[in-house]
Amino acid sequence: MRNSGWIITLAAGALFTLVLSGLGQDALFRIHMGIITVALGLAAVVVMRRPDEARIPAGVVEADKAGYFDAPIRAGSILTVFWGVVGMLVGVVIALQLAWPDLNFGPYLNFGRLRPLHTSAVVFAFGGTALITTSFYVVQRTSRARLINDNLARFVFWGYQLFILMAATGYVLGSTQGREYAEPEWYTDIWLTIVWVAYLVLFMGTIIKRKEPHIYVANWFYLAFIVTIALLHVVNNLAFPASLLGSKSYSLFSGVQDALTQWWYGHNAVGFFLTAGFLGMMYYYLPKQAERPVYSYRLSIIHFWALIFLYIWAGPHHLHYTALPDWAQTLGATFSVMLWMPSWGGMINGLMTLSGAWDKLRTDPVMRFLVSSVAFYGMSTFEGPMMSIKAVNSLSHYTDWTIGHVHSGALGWVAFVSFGALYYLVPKLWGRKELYSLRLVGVHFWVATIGIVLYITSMWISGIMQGLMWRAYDTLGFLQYSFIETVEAMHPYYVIRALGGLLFVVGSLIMVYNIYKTIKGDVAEEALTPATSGAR
Amino acid sequence: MSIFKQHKVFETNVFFLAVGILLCIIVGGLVEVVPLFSIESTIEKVQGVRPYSPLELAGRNIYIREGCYNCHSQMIRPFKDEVERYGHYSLAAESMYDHPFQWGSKRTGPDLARVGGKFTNEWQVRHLINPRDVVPGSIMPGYPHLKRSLDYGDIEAHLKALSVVGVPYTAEQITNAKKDMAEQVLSEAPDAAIAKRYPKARMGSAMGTDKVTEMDALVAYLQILGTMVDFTKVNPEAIRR
Amino acid sequence: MLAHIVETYLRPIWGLWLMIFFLGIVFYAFRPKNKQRLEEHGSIPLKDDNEER
Repeated sequence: MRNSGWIITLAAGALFTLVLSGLGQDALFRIHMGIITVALGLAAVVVMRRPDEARIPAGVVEADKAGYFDAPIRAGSILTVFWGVVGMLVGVVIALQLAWPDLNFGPYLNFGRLRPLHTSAVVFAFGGTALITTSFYVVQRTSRARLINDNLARFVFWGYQLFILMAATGYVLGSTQGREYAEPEWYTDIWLTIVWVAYLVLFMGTIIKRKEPHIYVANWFYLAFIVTIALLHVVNNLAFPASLLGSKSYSLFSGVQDALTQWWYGHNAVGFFLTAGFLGMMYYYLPKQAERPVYSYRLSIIHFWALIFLYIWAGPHHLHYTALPDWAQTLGATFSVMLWMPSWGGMINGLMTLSGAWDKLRTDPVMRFLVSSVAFYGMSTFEGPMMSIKAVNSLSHYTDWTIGHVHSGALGWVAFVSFGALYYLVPKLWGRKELYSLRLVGVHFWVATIGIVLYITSMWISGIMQGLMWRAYDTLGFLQYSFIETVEAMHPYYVIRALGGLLFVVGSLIMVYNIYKTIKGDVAEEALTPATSGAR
Repeated sequence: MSIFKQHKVFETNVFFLAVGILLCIIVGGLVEVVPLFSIESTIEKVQGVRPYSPLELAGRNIYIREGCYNCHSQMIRPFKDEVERYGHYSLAAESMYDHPFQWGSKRTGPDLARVGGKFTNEWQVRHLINPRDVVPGSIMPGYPHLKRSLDYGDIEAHLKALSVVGVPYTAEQITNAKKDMAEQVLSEAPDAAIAKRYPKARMGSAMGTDKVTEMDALVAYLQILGTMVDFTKVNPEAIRR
Repeated sequence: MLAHIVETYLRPIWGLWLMIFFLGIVFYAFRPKNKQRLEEHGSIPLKDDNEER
C-alpha cells in the first residue's frame, strides 16, 4: 500500500494514546486521551481509503509533480476557512452569552470554557493554519525550491491540526493551565513543541536549498515568527506535572515572575504570531495581487529589524499599576510607544505599494481586502501604543476597550489579510483561471467591514464607559456606581457587538460558498461591468 | 566601511538570519525579565502569606478549570476608587505561591483579590449555583455541577509537584494532605490540626453535607483570597513602591 | 553572573546601544550604493509565475 508508513504510524499513535487513556490518573486525562485515540484512528482510516495523491486536481498534477509540493497547501486553504468560521461562530456564541447569560449551558459550554476555545480557535487554529499554509506556499515560490521533504511537510501540517484538536477538546473538558492564550496543558504543549521544531527544520531546510540567491523579506518575517514562537512557547509553558499520567501541571514560576513571563509571551504572541507572521503574508500576497514590487525593499529591512527588536520588550504594558515593579512597567511602556514607528513603517510600505495603481482598489475586491488589512494594521498599531501609556491604560485596562482593540487587529488585519491571500490562492491551487465570483468578494468585504465597525465602536463606548463608571464619585464623595450597575449598563453594547460579530461570520460564509464554487470550477455569469472587468 | 557589507550575510545565509533574530529577541528578555528573578525588592516582605491548604488548592484548580480568570481579575491597582471598592492594593508577596498567577486581564465581573470573608459561605454557594438568585443583574454563568463530590485521591502528588516548583510545603503538610482535605470541610473545631497547619483557613462545609464537594473547595479558596496578610500590622514604608 | 552583566552594563545604557544598532541598519539600508541591489530583491515574488506553469 502506498501510504503504509503513515497508516502504521497513525495506528501506533492511536494504540499509544489508548494505553495512556487506560493508565490515566484522572478522568480528564483518560477522556482526553480517548478522544485523541479516536482522532488518530479515524485519520488512519482516512489515509487508508483516500491516498493523498488521488486528491490532486487534474489541472495541476504536473505543477505538483514537477515543482512544488502543494497538497498540504490545498488542505490548509480549506482548513483555514473551516477554523475561521468555527472560531468566529464560537465568538458570536460567547458574545451572546454576555448579553444573555441564560445561553450558558454548563459545565462544558459555559463562557469560561468557551472563551479560550474562541481565542485559540481564531488565533491558533485559523491564524496558525493560515500562516503554515501560506508559509509553505511563499517559501517554495520565493526560493524556487520544493519543500525539502514531503513527509515532513505532512507531519508539520497534520501534526499542527492534531494540536488544535487536543487544545480545543481540552478547553471544553476543563483541561487548562489558566494562562491566557497558552491554555493547553503540558502534554499538548510537548506535542506542539515537537511539531514546531519540525516546522523550523522544514522551513529553514527549504530556504537552504533555494535557487534564488537572496532570501526574500517575507521569509524573514515567517522565520522570525517560527523562531520566536518556539522560544516563547517553551519558556512560558515550563511546568511540572502532578503526574506523568495526569492532566494537571503547575507552572515553574509564581506570582509576579509568572505574570511577567506570561505577558512577555502573551504580547509577543501578538507581535510574532499575529504581526510578524502575517506581515510575511502581506509581503508576498500584496505585491503579487498588485503585480508590482513592494514600495521600498529597503524600508522593509529596517522595519523588520526594528519591529522584532522592539516588540519583545513591550509585554509589561499588560501589567501597568500591578505589583510588577515600576521600572519594568516604564520600560514596557517606552518600548510600546517606540513600536509605533516600525509598525507604521510596515503599513506605509504596504499602502504605498499601490501608489500609481490606486484604481486597483476600485476594480479589484481582493485587493481591497489586502489594502484594508494594512490600513487596519496601521490603525490598531496606533491605538496599541496609545493604550500602553500608563495614564490611558489606567482607564482602559480591565475594560472592553482592550477587547475592541484586539478585534480591530484580529478582524481588520489578521482576518482580512488572510481572506485576501485565500482569494488569491484558491484559484491558483486548483488550477482555475479565476474566482467563481468577484462580486461576492465585494459583498463579503462590505458585510465584514460593517461588522468590524459595529464591533469596535461598541467596544470603545462600553470600554470607556465602564472605566469612567468604575472611577466615578458622587457629590458626597462616595463611589457613584456599584459594580453590578456597570455590568447592566453594558448590555446594549454587548448586543451590538454580537451583531457585528454575526455580520463578520455571515461574510465568511459568503467566502465559503465562493471558494466552494471556485474549487468546483464554476464561474458566475456576472455582467462584466467596468468595475469588475479591470481585475480580470 | 566593510562592516556594513556584513548584512549581506543575513540576507543569504538562513542560519545567520535565524541567529540574528534570536539575538534580537533574547536581549529584551534578558534585560527585562531576568532581573525580576534576582532583584530582592521585587517581592515585599510581609507576614502571613502561606501555601494554600489542600482544599483551597483544589478550589483554586477548579477556579482555573472553569476559566474564572477570563472575567475576574485578582489584582487591585493602587487607585483611590479601586482601593475603596475592593480593599488594599495587591502586593506581589500575596501571589508568591500562586502557580500559575491569576491576576487576570479583564473585569467583566468584579476583582476577586480580596473577596475572602466579604460574603458568607451560604451566599457564595447560592451565587455559584445561580448568580441571578442573589444578584439579579448578573451575567455570570451558573455552576450547579460543582455540587458533585470532589475527586482528591491524588492531592498528595499535587502538593509534591508544587513543592518541586518552590512552594514550601512541609513533609507533614504533604503526608497529611488527604486528611486535611476532609478535616477542613468536616471539622468545625477551631483547634483542629488543619487550623494550625494552615492559619485562617475557612473551616466547615459550605454545602452543609458530610462529604467533600467541588463547591466546598472553590468556596474555601474564594474565602481565603486576600485575607492572609493583616494590613493593620503592615508598615506602609515596607511595601511602598 | 548573567544577571550581573545585564544589571551593570546592559540596562543602564540600553538607549545608547539601541540607537547605535538602529542607526547602523538605517545606514546600511539607505546607502546609495545598496539602493539598486536591494530594490531588485523586491521583484522576487513577481519572478516565480513564469516557472509555475
